[in-house]
Amino acid sequence: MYDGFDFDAYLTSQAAKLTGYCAAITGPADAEDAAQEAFLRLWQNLGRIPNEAAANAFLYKTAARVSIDLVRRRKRFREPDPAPPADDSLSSRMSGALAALKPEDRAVVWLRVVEECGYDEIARRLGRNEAWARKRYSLARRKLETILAERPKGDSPCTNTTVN
Amino acid sequence: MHEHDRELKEALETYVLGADPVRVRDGVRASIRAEQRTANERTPWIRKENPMKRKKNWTAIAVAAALVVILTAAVAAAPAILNYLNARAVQRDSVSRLTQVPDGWIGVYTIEDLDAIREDLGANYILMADLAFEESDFEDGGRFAGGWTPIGDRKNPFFGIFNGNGHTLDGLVIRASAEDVFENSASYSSSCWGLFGYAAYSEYMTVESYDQHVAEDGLDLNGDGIIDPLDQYGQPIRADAVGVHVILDPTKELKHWGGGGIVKNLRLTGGTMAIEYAPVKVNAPDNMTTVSLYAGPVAGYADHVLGCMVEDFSVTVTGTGEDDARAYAEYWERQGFPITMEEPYRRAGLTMIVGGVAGEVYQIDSCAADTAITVRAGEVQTVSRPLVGGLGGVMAACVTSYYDGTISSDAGEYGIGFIRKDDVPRLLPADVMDEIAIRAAFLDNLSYQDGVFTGKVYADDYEAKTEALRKAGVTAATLNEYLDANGMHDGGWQANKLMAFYYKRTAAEVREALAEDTWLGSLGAVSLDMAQSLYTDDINDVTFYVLDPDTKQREYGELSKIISAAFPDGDFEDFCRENHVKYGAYYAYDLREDPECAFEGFDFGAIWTREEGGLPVPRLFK
Repeated sequence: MYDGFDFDAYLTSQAAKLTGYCAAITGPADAEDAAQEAFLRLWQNLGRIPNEAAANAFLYKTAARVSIDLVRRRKRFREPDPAPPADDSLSSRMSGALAALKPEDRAVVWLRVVEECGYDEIARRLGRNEAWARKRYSLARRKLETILAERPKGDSPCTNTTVN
Repeated sequence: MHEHDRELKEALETYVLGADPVRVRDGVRASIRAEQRTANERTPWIRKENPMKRKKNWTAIAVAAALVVILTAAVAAAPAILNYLNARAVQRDSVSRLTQVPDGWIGVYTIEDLDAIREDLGANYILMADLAFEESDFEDGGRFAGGWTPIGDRKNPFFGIFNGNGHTLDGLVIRASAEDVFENSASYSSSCWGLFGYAAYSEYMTVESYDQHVAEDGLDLNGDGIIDPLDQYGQPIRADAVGVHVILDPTKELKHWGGGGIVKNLRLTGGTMAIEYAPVKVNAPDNMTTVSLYAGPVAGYADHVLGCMVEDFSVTVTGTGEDDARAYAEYWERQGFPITMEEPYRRAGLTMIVGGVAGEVYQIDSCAADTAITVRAGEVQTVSRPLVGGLGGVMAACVTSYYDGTISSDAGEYGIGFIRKDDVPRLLPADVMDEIAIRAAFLDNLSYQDGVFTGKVYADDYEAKTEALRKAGVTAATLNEYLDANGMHDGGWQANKLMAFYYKRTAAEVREALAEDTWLGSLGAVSLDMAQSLYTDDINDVTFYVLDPDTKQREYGELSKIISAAFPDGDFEDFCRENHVKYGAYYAYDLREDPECAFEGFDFGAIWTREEGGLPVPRLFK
């Protein structure tokens, strides 16, 4: 890494963002482990990372990989997490819909919606190309829309749940 | 911000509540402090090795410290994981050697031991020392005068496992005249050259002396030695017949046993291979025979080459003249074939498969080569399959591997190698197979055009139907049951066809079969080593589907159509990469084309190291 790079300051500035990002992929239970692992791998590889932009790319790509691995491992070795209590609120239903997405799609949606990244930045952070990022985001949004459109029985029509 | 985005953002922020960034920050700081303490305790040898490092900033020391930790952990865990070294390409425990021969393995300490492998082609071997040939070994009067004879050929393949254990074999010389090539083509069709000639696990499945009886619910399918669910009855065995079993005929001789065909963790340096080849087409009464040449330093053909490195090695293949071709025809005449020979040389159906690691190989994983390859097809005007590649001539899978040599070929080249598109995965984790089966359930009208398999979605509401299958938790094994129960009688045809070729197995079942000395063919001829090599995660807790090793090449084509149609736009390779299935080509680089390759996409540092401007080297060989 270039001279003057302060890893600790970088850690402090990125911890909240990265933890949220990992949580979007894994759910909150495994997010801290994934984020820690990603930061440590960055620290171990600082010698070959030339600048902060490269550090960001490395960090997010590693975080995505570690998080997705954790999700797969959990899926394979553990019972699924118990479903949250039934709740018809939009927020709760939206959470349920997010949980139904593939982990990588959740990462894309998080970067696009929360961090407001462009597709080129999403692609860079996930080690993909822009077309892939655009396609995944579009599919994920469509899937969210489909899931949210499937209203539970007795639910009244809600005009503002459509996701573009 | 759009209203919908705001709602989604709020939902996302709610979704992630509970994960605490402060704990993350503190945890990282604590881990770094711990690694720095470890580094301080262990740094003397680092300083001795490279005093300049002391002048670097603390991050350089930290990188070194991390390496120490990784190495220490790997050494401590060594006995348990070494059989899988480098097969687990993206894992970090791939960096040390065994110092004792494990139970059930044969230690190779000398070149004589190496040569003796050909006396028992089905055992598992482990190299316990660096070995070096002398030039005089290959001269007249030397112990390998004329050049090394490859271990195993197509008729009698090496079907065990050879673990190079991080050791080096230096100075191997392989030479073959056109006549040698003819005589080596014992199975009438191929001549294989390398340290190993032909290394394949599945070859024993084609032993003629076997009768196999596949039974399913009273339906007795009595084949003629081949399980052929598609052709014999004109329809596939349904997916719920995955529990087929094979009844062995104890009166027949079992010639080949074992789930091998694996060469791994071996470094070849300072060797040469010089093959002359006179292609010819021979028309025999009931078949037409051409010779295919497979050449590569590690093996002419191998099922799996893992964690191998080829350095300072040259491979030269030269097409020679008509006289040699005519001599070949005469050779077959001497073997009793009443041949006719038509313009034997210039119009020959030449198949020349040359690679910097291996000629043809199902899977190359975590290999590196700087092999200098020279191919001269000579006067041959019709070169039907000149497959020349830096890592392999032809491969079904090539992952986390590097080539940085030179290729001079008048018959063309394919960079790291030609990736066979009409192959199919030999092993798939159950959840991956579930997804394939669901996607394939409503496909129809598959076709192949211009090198691309295409398909038509049979059901208009395909997406809704497949999504319904996922939501209902349908798996490959329960697909038929669900389709029947829901009146989707037209679905499932292609999925069933695919599934008919795969056995569903657990690692425990395979282990049990191994322990009981059961014929592995009934389990789909898979060893745990092989399973591990094809799938990165810990295989012990994974249920997987194994391709019937008797599946024929043309059937690969059928199955490949189904998979390709289910995953259009090349998505299947992405799907494999995302699920850690080693199939297709990814994270494999031709460094000639991309010298500044950033090695992004996987954890390069886990098993690789690279000095400035040099070829990546597996840590095992450092």
